Amino acid sequence: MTWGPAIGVVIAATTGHLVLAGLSPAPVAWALRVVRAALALLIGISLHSLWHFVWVAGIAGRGLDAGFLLYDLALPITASVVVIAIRRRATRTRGAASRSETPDIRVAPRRRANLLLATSILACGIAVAFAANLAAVQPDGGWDAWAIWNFKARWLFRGGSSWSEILTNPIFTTSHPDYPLLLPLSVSRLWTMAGGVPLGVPQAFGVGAAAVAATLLVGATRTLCGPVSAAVAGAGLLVLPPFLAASATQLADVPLACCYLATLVALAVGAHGAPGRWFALAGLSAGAAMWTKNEGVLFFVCAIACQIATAPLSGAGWREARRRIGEFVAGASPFVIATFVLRSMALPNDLLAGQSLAMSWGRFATPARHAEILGYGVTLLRTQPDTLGVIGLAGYLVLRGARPDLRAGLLALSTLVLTACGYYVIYVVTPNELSWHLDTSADRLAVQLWPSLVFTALLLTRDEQSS
Amino acid sequence: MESRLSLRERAARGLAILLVAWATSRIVVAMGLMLSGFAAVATDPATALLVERYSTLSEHVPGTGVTVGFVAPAEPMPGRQMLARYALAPLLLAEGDSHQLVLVDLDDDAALATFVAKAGAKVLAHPRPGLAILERPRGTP
Repeated sequence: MTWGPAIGVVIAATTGHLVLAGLSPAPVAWALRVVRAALALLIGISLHSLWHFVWVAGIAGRGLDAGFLLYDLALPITASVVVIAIRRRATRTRGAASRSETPDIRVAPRRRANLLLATSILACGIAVAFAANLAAVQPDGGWDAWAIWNFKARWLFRGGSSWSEILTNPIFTTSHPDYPLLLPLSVSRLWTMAGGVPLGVPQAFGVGAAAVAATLLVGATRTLCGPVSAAVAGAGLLVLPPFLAASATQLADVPLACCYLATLVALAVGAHGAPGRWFALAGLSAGAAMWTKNEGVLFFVCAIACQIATAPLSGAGWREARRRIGEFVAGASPFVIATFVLRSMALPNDLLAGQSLAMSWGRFATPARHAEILGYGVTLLRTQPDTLGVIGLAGYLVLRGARPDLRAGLLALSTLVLTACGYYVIYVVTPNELSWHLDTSADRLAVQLWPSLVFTALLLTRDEQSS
Repeated sequence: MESRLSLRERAARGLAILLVAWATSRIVVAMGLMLSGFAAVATDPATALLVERYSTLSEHVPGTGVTVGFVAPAEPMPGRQMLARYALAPLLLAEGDSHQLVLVDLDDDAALATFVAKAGAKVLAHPRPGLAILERPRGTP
């Protein structure tokens, strides 16, 4: 019972590690190793949610339940066979290249900077422990957690052949049948391994997502910008307290924030020329975002659009740009297919059902709606983050100055800005009452974007002097 | 080595130290207040109580494929029906009493008895005051 979910996490991490081993060479630097470990967990859990989707839809309830662990293990075993095949082929092609290495992009850090980084990592660790304590106070999670994500997880865990009712039955409209299933499938998978529905699983999932986000943010900033910036990144994450609250209440916004950040990190590492198929990893992460929440579809489209738009600036030529975008789309393709299958079955989205272009345009052409959204956004920016923290972060960015090579940063920034514009347009045209829609969701959009925003801001600033 | 750093770089590092110190102290204080009990986290205990209340029906609800109605007071607590769905999944729980089986969650047994008499229903399970699963006579609109 206790070990089941832990074994499930280890299996998922192993699958993710094998996928990463197939797509990018083992790094030398510890910071990039940490980034890879966090990415491995994220990608492994995402792929196992797809694998579990097949189980729920096609195998569960047919008297084969005892074989679930074997079924789950089949994914890492398949991944290892593919990786071995890829490596053998690569060895044959490249001769005696026994081990490829991803070099550390930054110079060796100094002691004082490392001490600052260690303090920041400690603060992030305390923050995660704080979130775990908060989660224990609210065992069933926040409204959306029990009404949507954990409700669906329970249904998928216990539902057997009737699992698709949560997508197709109109009585479940309030639980948003069209919402993607990464979170419910992941939780129900671990519950299947536990043989029950311990509340600790979704709690650990929410808090674990915050830990993965912190690890990715600090590790990637350490790799790409240096130890002082990495310390600032860790502190910057804590500038937005609702991020911790959202992880404690088991909302899907923190796992989504992880997927956004993982995408931008992989794009940035790839753009910096690290060997390996980092754009495919970025695609996998963006696909996972799409499979986590509907906002992820918008993010995925924006990421592709911005890769196309910034291709002339990348200096890599159109052929290379096409290869990168192709890898990105190929990486996301399992999740694109799953999303398409889900959408073809599920009831339509409440924001789109019964809407027409004329109705949307009518709302778009109402200035009061724009004013209300902008006013709400300003209020959020004023009240949500810690003011002194924001001033400190902004001051650090200004003092550091702009990086001479802005290619990776611009791609990340344009993706985030375009995604935020998409959020804005969705609010403008929403058929729901605008003030209610803003009140119930806008603060969580900040949670989704904040880690990526901190990472992007630091990516745009000048490197630390190695003196 | 440090002296070779520009003034701007030094200022940036100084600000980074301040920012990390500020963020660390805030989270340490928050954690300390929480663990020491000086600061209580505001929660709504009703959610857990209702989940526990509805869970007492889990042995009595029908298997999948049967839709059960849901009747409760006029929403003094928003989302009662959704909480019941969450606690009793996978149960097809629809709004209203227009189904042969109805989950009724009323304030007390007196209100429940009135409802049962009015509907001419049979009580199938009654684990808590005001909470029951009823079977309405066939053909009742």
